[in-house]
Amino acid sequence: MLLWSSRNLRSLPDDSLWISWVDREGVIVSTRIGLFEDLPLVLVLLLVLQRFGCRQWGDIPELTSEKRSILLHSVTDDGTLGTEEVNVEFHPEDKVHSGWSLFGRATTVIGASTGMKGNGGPAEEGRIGARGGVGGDAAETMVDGDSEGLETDETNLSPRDTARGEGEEQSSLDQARDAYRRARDDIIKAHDLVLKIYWAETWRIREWEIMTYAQTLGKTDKFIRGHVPEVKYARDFDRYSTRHIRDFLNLQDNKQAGTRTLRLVVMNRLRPIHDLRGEQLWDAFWECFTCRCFFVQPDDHPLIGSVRSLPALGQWNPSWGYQSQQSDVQHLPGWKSGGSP
Amino acid sequence: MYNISPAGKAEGVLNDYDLASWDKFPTTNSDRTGTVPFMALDLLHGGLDQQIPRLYRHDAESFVWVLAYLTAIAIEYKGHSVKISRPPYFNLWFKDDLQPNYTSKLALYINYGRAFRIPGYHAQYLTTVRKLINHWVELDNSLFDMKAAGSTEPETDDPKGILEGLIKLVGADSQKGFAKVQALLLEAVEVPGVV
Repeated sequence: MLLWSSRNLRSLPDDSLWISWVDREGVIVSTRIGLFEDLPLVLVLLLVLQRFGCRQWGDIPELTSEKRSILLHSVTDDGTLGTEEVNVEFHPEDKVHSGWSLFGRATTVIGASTGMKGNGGPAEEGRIGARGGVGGDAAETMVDGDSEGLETDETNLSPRDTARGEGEEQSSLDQARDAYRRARDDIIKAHDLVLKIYWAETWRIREWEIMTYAQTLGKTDKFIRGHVPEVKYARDFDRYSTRHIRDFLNLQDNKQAGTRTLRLVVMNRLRPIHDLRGEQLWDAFWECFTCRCFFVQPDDHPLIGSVRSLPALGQWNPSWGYQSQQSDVQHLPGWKSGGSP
Repeated sequence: MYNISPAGKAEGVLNDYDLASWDKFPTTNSDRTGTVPFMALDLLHGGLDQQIPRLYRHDAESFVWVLAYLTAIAIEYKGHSVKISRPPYFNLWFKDDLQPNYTSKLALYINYGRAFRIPGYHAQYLTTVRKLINHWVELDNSLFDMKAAGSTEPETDDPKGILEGLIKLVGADSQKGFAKVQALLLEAVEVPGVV
């Protein structure tokens, strides 16, 4: 599957052994274990490792490619999670983004669907249309950083030169672009959501809370309306939090610092802005820019009225639920759980 | 990212909020968040370990580096896949070493459209993008000079000033797209007649 927490044994060619625990927060290395002088400990260790299941080795059974569905919670209008579970189908072959890494967030985004929406109907669920090809080939995006093909030949051309000849190539380019767009449309029809999987730092505000609040602002603000993704479902899997091993080993004074947990967020599917060009790109870009204008500090700037701005933490409206659900930020210095704004 | 509205219009969507935070939030780590290739000049300068307060202008500047990149890349459609080719000039932005990233951004005002081609459908915005680039480079120059002169006064966040500066910048030009952006920013800043 796409996520794992890798843990391994590291040995040197002598009678010494160290145990390294590697997760998204970092590496924990044991003190030296002597193969002979600590033989009972080594034997116990081997017996323990022998009994490790997939989960102990870092597998996440909820996210296996065979299962392809997971139970998440609906995100309500007030930014909290509903109690009912919703089955979300995910499609690992429909990769949208992959930020592979051993440490950190390691964000992966893949296509998803619920089987509840009207888009395309149930018959199309989980399947990419014929034009979209099969699996990961459906609408792959490749970024060529050291391209010798497209750019290098024309590196020395001036804009005036390059403007010439655009028209000649335009027709075939447009045809290719249209075919690609149709393929992408098919994919979006079949998988109209994306599942974002990542290891979030627990001291940060949860992403779905910020997004829901931005959506609320967008109801009355045209600079935000339509320019923030819709968050649908989410869940934190605390059982995979990096804090457990550190709590057990009593390694951290500050229990929040650095802790990461597995977070799944489902949003509506968007299209990459590089698919646009010319005026469409220009307009969409400045819409994003002006949307960002309103996510600024509310108090100190006459530019932004309190209605339009994301609130400072201490002014958080209690109806938004920090008091009603267990929130990571409650444990931060200076923040008192249940305190009035 | 963008979405297609029910009316069929492409609408820009600001995405990825997992590193967003509330203002005045007492951060507990010293990580520099952001995307290095598009990071603002003074955040790049001196490395990632510097404790520079994050300001609105940093994000506003990053938008311009993104715009310069987006208008310079070439896209090739092959069947059901898309291949994005960035001009080699931008490779420096994607290396681990921050200094070439910093210096290439400083020089982008000169090189944008000269060291690499701008696709014809974006050529109409070439002067605009150059001016925007120059705007941030000049700001970085003035900050650099202030620091060199021994100024240690902490900078205060001034989104309104940033927007007004951009309005003046785009308002002074007649290129296509400027009027629309100017109107949008003027409405956003809610200070008519600034220009």
